[in-house]
Amino acid sequence: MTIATANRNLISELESVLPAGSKSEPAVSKAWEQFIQTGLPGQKSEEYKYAPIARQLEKLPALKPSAGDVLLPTPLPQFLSGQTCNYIVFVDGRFSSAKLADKEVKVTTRTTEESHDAKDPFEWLNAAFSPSLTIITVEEGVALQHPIAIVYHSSGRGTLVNPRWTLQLLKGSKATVIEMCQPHAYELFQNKKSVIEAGEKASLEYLILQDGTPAQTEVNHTEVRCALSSYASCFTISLNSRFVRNNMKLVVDGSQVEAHLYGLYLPSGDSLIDNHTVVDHRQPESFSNEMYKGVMNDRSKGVFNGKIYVRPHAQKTNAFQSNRNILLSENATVNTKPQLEIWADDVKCSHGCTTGQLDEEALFYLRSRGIDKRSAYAMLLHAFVAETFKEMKMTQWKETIDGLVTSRLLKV
Amino acid sequence: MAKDNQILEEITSREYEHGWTANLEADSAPKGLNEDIVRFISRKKQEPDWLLEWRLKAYRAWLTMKEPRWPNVTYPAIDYQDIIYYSAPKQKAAPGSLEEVDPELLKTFEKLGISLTEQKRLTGIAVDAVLDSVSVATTFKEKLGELGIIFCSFSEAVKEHPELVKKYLGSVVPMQDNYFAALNSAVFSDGSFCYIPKGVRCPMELSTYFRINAAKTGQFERTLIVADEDSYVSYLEGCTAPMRDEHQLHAAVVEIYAMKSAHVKYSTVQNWYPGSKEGVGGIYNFVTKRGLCAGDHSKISWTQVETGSAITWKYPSCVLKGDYSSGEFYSVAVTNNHQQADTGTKMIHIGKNTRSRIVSKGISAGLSQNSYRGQVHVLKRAINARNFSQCDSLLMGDRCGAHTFPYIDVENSTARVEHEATTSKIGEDQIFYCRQRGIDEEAAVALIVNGYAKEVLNQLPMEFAVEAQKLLALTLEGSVG
Repeated sequence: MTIATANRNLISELESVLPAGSKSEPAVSKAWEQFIQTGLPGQKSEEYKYAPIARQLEKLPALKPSAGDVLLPTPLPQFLSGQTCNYIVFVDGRFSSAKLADKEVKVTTRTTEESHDAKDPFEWLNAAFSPSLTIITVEEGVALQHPIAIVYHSSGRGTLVNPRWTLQLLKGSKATVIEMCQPHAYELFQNKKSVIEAGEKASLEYLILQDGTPAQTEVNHTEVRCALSSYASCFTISLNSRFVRNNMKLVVDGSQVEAHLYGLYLPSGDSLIDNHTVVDHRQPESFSNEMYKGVMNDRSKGVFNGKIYVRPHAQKTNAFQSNRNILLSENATVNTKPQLEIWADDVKCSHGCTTGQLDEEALFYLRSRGIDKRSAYAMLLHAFVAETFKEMKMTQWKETIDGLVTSRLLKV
Repeated sequence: MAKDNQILEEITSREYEHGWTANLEADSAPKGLNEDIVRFISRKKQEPDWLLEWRLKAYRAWLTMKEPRWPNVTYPAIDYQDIIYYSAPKQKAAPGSLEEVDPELLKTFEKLGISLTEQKRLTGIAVDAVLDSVSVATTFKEKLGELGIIFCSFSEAVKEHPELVKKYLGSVVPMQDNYFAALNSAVFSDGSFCYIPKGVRCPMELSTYFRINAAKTGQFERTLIVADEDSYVSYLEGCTAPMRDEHQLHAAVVEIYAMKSAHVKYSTVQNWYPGSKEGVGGIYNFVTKRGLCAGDHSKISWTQVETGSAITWKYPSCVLKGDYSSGEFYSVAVTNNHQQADTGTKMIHIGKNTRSRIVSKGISAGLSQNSYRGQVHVLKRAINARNFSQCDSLLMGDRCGAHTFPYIDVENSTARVEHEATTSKIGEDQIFYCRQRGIDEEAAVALIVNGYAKEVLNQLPMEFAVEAQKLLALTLEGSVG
């Protein structure tokens, strides 16, 4: 591990490791220019106020993508053992291989095009470092038999990984998707950008599992676009990471959409988990529901920022949001900012947010019935957090997550 | 729908009733701002050297600062050199009693319905009237004096109680606190000062009435309230301005210092000229208000009804430093036509067992934008802090916007913080229910809006509650969404 030097010039460091010749690509050079223009968000940045990303990156070893193609024997994460999936594997941020179980899934790659609506500097950084985009397509009208598993591997040779992919669920299709890292202990910076386009009447269940990467620093851009009459249910479960920033954006681009965003964060030690979500209602008559819960322990930090936009045209929108937090130790902190921005009048929107601790009386009740303190805590915390994954339809995953969470809570 | 539009039109075409100007001769400083202007104001007010130094320091700090751009409002850049920073109604000599006050001036306040003449003492409110930044008259002074209460204009306080002013000025809102507070600290011309001695319960409501009269002027007043141990005071503030095509700047500072077990209640009914319905003119209301609960068991409560101003930028806050201290914030903010409001509060929990409560009700109509922005910050050593916040928005019409930006920062695990917010419109079923019982649509809307805002209006002293209800009805009746 290198010792952080003050005022490390990250930008010039990144520029020196841009893949040779890639700057002549118009999309890359534009992305790079945009990135330089915005720069890395500093302390004054409203969006990254509570997640001092520049300071965090300065602590990492020199940032560089891994050179050359890496073909590794890629073991599958334990979480998925014994399950047949459509595997799409990225190694050091680049598409490596696909092992598909369903013939209705297609994987192609093409050069990254200029993105128009990117705002965040890390989206530009991703575009500059990932010249190819992986596109996964699920055929029209197909309900996939097996889940799609997107797995990131690290060889330890690169300290900067930039996965970039798009998943298209064509009209009337149905898919379950899991995204996770193969556990590793490398110090690296993962900067992901992914888009899921749920077509008309498509149905999506999407799980992002962040576990088993204790040394990783992550910024994840995840966008889910919902077209007319589509259904989406997304779960972001962050259990064990050092520094995670999730930018989850849900765009309601059609009417009669039903969308759910669930999130659970259990930071401990010195870790920081920052969830920024945006629910953007652009079309009328849709429904969205969001629930994020966190339990902060030790000196960890939880951040939640949830924006709900209801555009002038999006009448009859119902949008709900709730964020609840428990602080377990005196050095843990939480910063939350639920934010509603409404430009349409015939809507029902609400948000609620609480921060507190476990109910003493409930603890007493359990203790008086002979349950030891640790189990009583774990029981109550479990009841508190389980709500964030109880709607998961993949029962096998739900049970495994329940197990992971329970074992984590018993350590509290 | 046609009827709605008709009613809407009627309302929006209604003129701002305080839009007249009075022919008062004014004594003004030249336009613009520089150190000489600061010195000029200080000289005019015959201030001691320390205050001039304080002003100059604030001015120099202001020069290095930038105008905040984070509020959710848009307006053309303000030319700070195009403002008259000092304007005082001309008077031959300082009036010894009300009989000596310029009759034109008294007429002005009579027109506003404010009793400066003590014959109206039945209303039982002591008033300090501030016209174009200068305090013109204070009533009931002697009666309050008997109890040891000091209630006078700021300049008088500087002359007669310099030790108090020196001690508390800037103790809650430091001069470099923010851009507009620094500007105010440099050029404030007058305001009210109030001191409640130990153990005294102020027997009447104290009130300041602000009016901008002269054109092209800015109003920069400063209010300082010091409540000593075990005292209680309820303070009211009201404001109006004439209709003018250009924007006028109002950048005030209010500081409240509450000692052990003191209780201060501060209520505002803000009705500055909101601009024409096309969005021309109106007041920019950029105000810094903060209360410090310095002693244990102290309490500060802010109540505001905001109906005027083209742009409102205002966050009455409480710093809960003493143990067991508590802060409250009740607000109704109404925006119509092209008005923009970015308002809310800050509750900073420092002491142990501190409590705060926030109730904010936003109502937006027409083309207006209404934002709630608030922060609840529980610091590390604030054990058992408790906060409850509720901010609701009501939308009338499909061209306005409602926004909420609550920041909740908790650094202590024993804190309990709750926040909830809703956004909706007046339900057709609610209107239908009223109509069914023979209440016409306009009255039904007034009824529902008043019910919606009731939790806040209930906090106002009676005289103000009546005025506030009328204002609400005036701005909104008929605008059924």
